[in-house]
Amino acid sequence: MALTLDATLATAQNSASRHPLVEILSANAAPDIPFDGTTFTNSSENEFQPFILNHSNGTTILAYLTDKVMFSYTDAEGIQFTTVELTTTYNNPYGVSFCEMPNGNIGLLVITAVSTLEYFILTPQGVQVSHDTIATITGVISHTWVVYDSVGAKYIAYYAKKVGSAYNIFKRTSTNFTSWTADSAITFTGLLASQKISSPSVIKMDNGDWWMLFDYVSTISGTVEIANIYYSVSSNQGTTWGAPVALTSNTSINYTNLHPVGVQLTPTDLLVAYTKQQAILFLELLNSTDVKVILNIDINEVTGKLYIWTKNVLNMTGIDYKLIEVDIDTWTVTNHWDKDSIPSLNAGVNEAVGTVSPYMCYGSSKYHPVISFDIMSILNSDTGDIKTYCFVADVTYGTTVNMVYAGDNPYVDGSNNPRVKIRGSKIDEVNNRLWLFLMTDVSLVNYIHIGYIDLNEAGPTFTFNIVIKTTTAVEALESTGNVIFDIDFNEGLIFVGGKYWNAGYPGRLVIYTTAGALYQTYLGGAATSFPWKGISDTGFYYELGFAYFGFEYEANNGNGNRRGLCRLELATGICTYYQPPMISVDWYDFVSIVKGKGNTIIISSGVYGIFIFDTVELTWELRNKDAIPQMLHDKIMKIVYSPLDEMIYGAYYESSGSNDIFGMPLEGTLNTSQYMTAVLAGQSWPFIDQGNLLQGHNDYDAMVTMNPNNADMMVVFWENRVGADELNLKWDTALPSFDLAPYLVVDNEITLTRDIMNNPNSIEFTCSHGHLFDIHNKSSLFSNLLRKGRMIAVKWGERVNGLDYWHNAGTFFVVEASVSYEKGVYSDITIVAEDARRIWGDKQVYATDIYNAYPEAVLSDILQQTVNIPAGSINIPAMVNRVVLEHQWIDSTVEDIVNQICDRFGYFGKMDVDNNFTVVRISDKAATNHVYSNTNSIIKFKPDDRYSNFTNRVTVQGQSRNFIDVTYAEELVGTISGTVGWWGAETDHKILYSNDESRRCISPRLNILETTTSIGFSLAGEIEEYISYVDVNHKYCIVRIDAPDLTPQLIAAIAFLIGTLYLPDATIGIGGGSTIRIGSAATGIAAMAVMTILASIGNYQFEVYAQPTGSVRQSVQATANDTLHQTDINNIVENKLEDPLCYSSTDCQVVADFELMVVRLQRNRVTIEKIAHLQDEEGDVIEIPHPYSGVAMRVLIVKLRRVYKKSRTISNDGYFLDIIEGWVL
Amino acid sequence: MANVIIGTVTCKNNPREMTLIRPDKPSAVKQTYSGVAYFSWPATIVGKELELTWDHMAGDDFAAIDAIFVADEPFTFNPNDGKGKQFTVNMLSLDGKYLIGLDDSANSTREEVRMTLLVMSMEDVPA
Repeated sequence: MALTLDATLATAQNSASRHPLVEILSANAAPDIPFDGTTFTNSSENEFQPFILNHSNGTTILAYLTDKVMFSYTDAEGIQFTTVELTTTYNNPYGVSFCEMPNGNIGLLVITAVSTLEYFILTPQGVQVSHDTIATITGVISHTWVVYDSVGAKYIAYYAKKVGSAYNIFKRTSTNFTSWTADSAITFTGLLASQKISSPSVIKMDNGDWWMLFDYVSTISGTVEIANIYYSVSSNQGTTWGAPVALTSNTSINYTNLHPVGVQLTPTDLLVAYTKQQAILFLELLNSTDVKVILNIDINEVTGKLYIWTKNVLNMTGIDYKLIEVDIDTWTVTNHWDKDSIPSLNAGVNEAVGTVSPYMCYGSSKYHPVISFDIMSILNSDTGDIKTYCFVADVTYGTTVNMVYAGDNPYVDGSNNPRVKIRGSKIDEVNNRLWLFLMTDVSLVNYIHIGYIDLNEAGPTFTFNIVIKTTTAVEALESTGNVIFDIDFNEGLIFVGGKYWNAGYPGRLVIYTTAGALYQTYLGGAATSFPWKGISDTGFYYELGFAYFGFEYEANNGNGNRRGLCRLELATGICTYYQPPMISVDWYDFVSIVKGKGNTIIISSGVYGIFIFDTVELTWELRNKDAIPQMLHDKIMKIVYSPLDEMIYGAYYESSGSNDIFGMPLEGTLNTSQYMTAVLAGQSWPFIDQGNLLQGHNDYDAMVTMNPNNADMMVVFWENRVGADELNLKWDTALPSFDLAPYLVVDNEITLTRDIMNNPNSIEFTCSHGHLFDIHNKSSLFSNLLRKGRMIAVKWGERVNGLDYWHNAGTFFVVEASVSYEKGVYSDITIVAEDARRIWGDKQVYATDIYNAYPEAVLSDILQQTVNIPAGSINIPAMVNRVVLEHQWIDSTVEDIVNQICDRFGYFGKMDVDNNFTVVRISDKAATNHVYSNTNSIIKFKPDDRYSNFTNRVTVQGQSRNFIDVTYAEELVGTISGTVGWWGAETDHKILYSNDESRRCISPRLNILETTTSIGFSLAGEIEEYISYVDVNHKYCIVRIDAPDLTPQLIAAIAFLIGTLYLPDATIGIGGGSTIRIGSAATGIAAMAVMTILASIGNYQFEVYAQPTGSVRQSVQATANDTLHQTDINNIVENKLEDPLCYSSTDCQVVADFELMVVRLQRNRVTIEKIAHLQDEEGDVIEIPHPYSGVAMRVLIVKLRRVYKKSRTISNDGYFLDIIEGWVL
Repeated sequence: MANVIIGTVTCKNNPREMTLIRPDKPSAVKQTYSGVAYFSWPATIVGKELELTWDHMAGDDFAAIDAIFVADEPFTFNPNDGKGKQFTVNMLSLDGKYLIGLDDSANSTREEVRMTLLVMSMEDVPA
């Protein structure tokens, strides 16, 4: 559909005289504020206390501190910084400020650690004119700010100073910056000198007023000083100051507000930035009436995200397990999963009650488990995928078993009794295995299974590979209480421990190897150093031969002196006990133990706060609400430690509710930069709190200015702390949009390409000043303006009668920015930007909803769910030939899904010029959008069939919506072998058609490979083998082996044999006499009968064949023929396609006809070069005269490349053209 | 016409030739199958190269201008052509010849001096 242009602009398109324009703006795809920023230098030195000011010569000047004073100034364009070093007389500068002097030089003041005040006079390029010490000041000074009073022709230096117990802001003045008066205190009405005042800064307002901003301790709560931000106004250049006005009014001990600075952005806009300092963070979202219990916390240190498993215990209508993702930098919830999310947690996991001992369910950086009884849902936070492992079916939640439990399985019998429980988990990320610790708990008899699931298994069934299985009760493990489970994958050791439910029996720790062998068992008792009650706390940590854990106190059994933390040395089996000296109690309730910084371990206590134990120095440190009042709580549960930002994250628990997540720095405080703005209303400045100015809680003390050469560009520098020891200077800019016009290189084309082949629209252009746009040039304020991902908004236009008329040309995102440096060659930067669909190609979708809707609804839902396209930016008309789609996409990209739907209905998707997604039908019957009545605009015309082939038949196959029953050819489904003997037997063999009993077969048949046909059996009636039962659900059959019992015959034969022993041989007296062996003969016969029966033993072997049966979708297909072309080439060339979105032959016919149309039109492809016409776009049908015959042709625009080149004045080589690839219809 | 000012140097002699300082209009022509398309863009003086030539230039003027050339920083050029405009320019080239025989000291008069300036922006001459 052709674009609708402004009438004047449309008319101008038809003129032979053209005055084309282009506008390319760069903007941030996300809001600029809060700033994330980048470091200003790569220096390893600490950098801090930035001070920034615009010079009247159009440059921006920055000073900051290392162990020296660093002085940076920009070039004339205000973009590129150059830095020089200044050395102070005294070491360790810690405060700096400067002002512009009347002659353009810079007057700079420095405070050093020994309370000296030094001055420098510098040229704007940092050349030192003079330098000296002003004074060594009595008292403690900080935070200097110097201004020039043009009315009184003097400089005024302000700083905060503490003398004795009195705090004041002092000033001293100078007329030449070298000789200074003594300092004098400024008094502010209503402020107490006994309460700290600090951080003075001055704004020289446009109306001549001066505003002094400072922080002042307005409230003292116990030992906690709570400061707020104030300002005072002077109308006489600082001679007198008005009553202070509070800008913030915090009374909470949770935080204090410090270090304000302000800048008047415009005559009517004011911005004040300040630092919010906290000892501890609380995720207050959870700290509400909707009280949660936090069950587990994991941290992904790569992405800086916490994963928190919570349970709502008050809302008993449906206990609400959820998994929540929290961004550490912004300290906000960024995602959550439950049974209704996509992907979702298992409903049983989400809502069922019964999780036991979750503290032993360790996640990892990328895997985060949520467990209930015998079901685990586990989130892979790298991929966003959730898998659920279910050991026992649950009718309530429709949960079916998907675990193939290798070997004998007493648990999965469908009765839930005894019921397996998942009591612990541990992730082996190297081998991608989920290790599970399973227990039953019936009648206090606990059996354990430990094994792993391969996380690479795709399912739908998963194998639980058992490594350790106990067949007797594990007495030491209490069924409903705490057990510990941990694995050290480096040493291949598995730890299982707990206490016995009856206090009269000892607890134990059992160590296995990951290969399944028992490594060691430790049992509590008087004769051993192992604690009597075993490991009764959930806190357990093992590293390098030592296990650390807590335990319940036992006064008897020789354990009376054992308290605190137990350290077990595996090599000797000796336990040593370490008790925190600051709290002397019997039992510390160590809930969680994690690796800390260096040699420390961090231990949370359910009663006493957080302990930090140095395992080498054997020293203790305690963090509780007595030491840190802002902690508020001492009942700490699960904790994690993040070495990246040296933070402890954890959960606290109060039985009265009010449970929450907290973050605590290992050392120091947390500092976030806040800002507020005011718009002049009459004579007043009403301030509005705007929230975070910077991201992260170690980014603070921001200095703000506006770029002197671009009034819209806000420039911010600030201090960034990494851990306890590293300080960096960071900076960023905010610019609503940056016009690249002054930088577009006329020698290079601006090329904008759009097509109907589902490729992202793209634009390519070249800018000068590549060195300034280079992202690696940290000294350039332009370095982030063309970085990857930056949004590029493009307009085409025309100047008509001196007025500019514009039309949108699309919105893009920078995908390539290439710049190179070569001596003697100017560094341009070439930008390639593509529309949002480029990101869709990289956006993996693991599982969509199961759709049953029209394609427009499916497309709209997918785009909103997966790539956050707002509903208002999706405009999809009802598709011709639409049918309801019944489909779910698995492991696909958003791009693939969108393209598949569009292709199915003969449409192409596009981001239109206003950055809305829409679809357009591709049809050779489409109406003409634009008629060119002559060739006045046509520059070139060329038939171009290089993309075509000889396909003249298209066959499309699909599958029906409904299933039909099918039976397959007979196949072997099982074998039986065994032995039978004289003792006889009636044996049933259950032949499962598949191990998981999922396959169904009919007509089972027995094929006898081997049977026994001994004389004994022959006499008794032979063996019988037959199928005695066929399962009504067709999942198995039973084969019966029925062998006759020859025992009676054997007894009779033996009796006969015994009887013959009493039958004598006969003698007759002929000659010497002869013996007739009647008795012997009878005995022999009887013995032979016995042996024949005993020898009646033999093997049998059978096969069972059956016909698998099942349900499949019926195949449907349709064919489209280009008979004309088939006749032309006397050949049929077929292309077969499969389309899972075709459910009937009618559907297939639609697709086949469309695909045949495309291959036919590809043979009619042409290339046209013409003067640009802004009305035309891809998918339009234009009509042009054939350049030779003049006969009108209708051409569907397949690809439109719009190229713009402005002339150089000397070469006159500019143009504005449309290069079209199209199909002649 | 007062003498041209190059940076802080007011030349003792005006150049014998100087490019007329007026905007250029970028334009182009495309022949089509049955017509012609004419493209033009707004006239601009930014990017214009100005060539100034002197038959003779005082030695100290040349030395001062040469210092500007070596400094390679933008500077102000006031043509003093009565239009009330001055220009921020970069000096692209500066060349000349010794006036052999007349004077061969370091700051001797130069002849056939040619200088090319690139206009970066145009401003009003301060009152």
